[in-house]
Amino acid sequence: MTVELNNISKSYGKKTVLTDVSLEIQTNAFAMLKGVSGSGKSTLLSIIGGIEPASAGEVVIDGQNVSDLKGKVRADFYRHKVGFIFQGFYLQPQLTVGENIALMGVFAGVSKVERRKRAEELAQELGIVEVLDQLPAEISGGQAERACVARAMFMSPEIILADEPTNNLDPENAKNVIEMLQKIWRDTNATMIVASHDPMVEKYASQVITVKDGRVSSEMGGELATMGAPDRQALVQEV
Amino acid sequence: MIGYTAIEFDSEVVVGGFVTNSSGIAQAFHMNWMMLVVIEVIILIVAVVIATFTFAHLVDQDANTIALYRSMGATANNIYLIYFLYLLELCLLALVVSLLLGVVVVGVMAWMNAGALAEKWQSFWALSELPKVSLFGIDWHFWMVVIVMLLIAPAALIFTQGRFSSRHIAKQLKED
Repeated sequence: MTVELNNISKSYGKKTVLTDVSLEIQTNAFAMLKGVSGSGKSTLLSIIGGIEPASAGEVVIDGQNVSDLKGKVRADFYRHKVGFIFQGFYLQPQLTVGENIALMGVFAGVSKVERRKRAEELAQELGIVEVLDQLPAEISGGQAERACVARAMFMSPEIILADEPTNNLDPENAKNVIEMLQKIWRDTNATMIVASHDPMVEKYASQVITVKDGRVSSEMGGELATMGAPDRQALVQEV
Repeated sequence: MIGYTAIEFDSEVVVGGFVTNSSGIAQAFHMNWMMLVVIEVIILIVAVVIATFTFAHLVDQDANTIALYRSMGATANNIYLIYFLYLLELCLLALVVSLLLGVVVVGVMAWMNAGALAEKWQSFWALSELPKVSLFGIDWHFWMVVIVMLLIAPAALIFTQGRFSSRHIAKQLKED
C-alpha cells in the first residue's frame, strides 16, 4: 500500500512545523522518518495516521485521497487500514492488557469472544500472553511496547505507524522491539513507517526519509533492511 | 414554614399575629421563599459553570486517549458518547453523594430540633398529643436539583464540543 504526501504543510498558529512536504513511501516499505526532536517527524506521522489534519496538502493512501474522507467512511478506512503505535504507549490504566489490545475491536463491533481470541493470538505471537490479564501498571516497559504493537495489529492493518517505539526503552529492549517490528513487517507485508531519532532503527529501514526543519529528503535503506536473518545478526553483533 | 415561625417566635405571638397581621406574616414567608429560590438558582448556575469548566479540563487531560480512539477509527459521535456517559456517571455520583449528605444534614437537624418543634406545634395547634415531626420531604425543589444535575452532562458536552476537534487535540498533544 503506497503512501503519498502531496505538498503537506502544517502550522500551529504562527509556528510552521511542516513546509510543503511531498514524498512517496513505497508499498511494503519499512520506512523511517528520521529527525531530531522538534523536526516535525511525529507531526508527519500523525497526519498520515489521521490523528490530526494537515493545514494544506493531501494524503493519498493506495490511490485514495484520505484528506477528503469524512465521518464513518473515514473512521472505517483508518480502522481497517492503519495501525498506530504511540510514543507514550497510551495503554488505558483501568483496562487489562488483553482489553487494551482488543480496544479497536470494540469500535469495529467485533464480538467479545472474537476480541478475546484475537488478543490471545496476538499476545502469543508477541510473547506477552502471560500478562494478558494484568493491568498496564503491573507490566514492564518492553511488555507495554509489545502490547501497543499488538493493539495496532488487531485489525491486521496494511499500514503500521510507530512513533518513537524505542524511546522509553533500554538498548536491549529497543533492539528487541525493532527486530519485532521488522519481523511483523516481513510476515504481514504491511507498509511500516517508523518515526525515530534512534540510529539503530535506520539500520533496519528500507527507506529513510530525513525530516529537518519541517522539510524532507529521502534516501535508500539501511544495511540491515534487505539482509537475511543470519547476516543481520552478524552485523548487529559487529555494531 | 409554620414550624420555622413557631421556633422563631413565641407561639402566643404567632396566634395573635395570625389574627391581627396575617398578610404581614404571609408577606414575610413569601420574601424568605423568594430569597431562597434566587439563592438556589444562583447556586445551580454556578454548579453548572464549575462542572463545565471541570469537564473541559478533563477532556484536555484526556487528549492522548482521544487521539488513541481516533487512531482506532472512532467517529466523532463515538467519542461524544463515551464522554457523555462518563460525565453522566459523574453527575449521578454527585447526585447520590448530595442526597446522602442532605439526608445526614436533615437527620442531624431533626435530631437536634424535632423535640422542640413538636412541643411548639402541640402548643400552637392545641393538640392533645405530641405530634411526630419529620423534616424529610420531597418537593419541587428536590426534583429541580435532580433534573439540573442530570442536565449538566449534555450541557457541558455542548459547551465543550470544540475541545474534541482534531486541531484542539493535536495542540494538547504538542503541549504535553
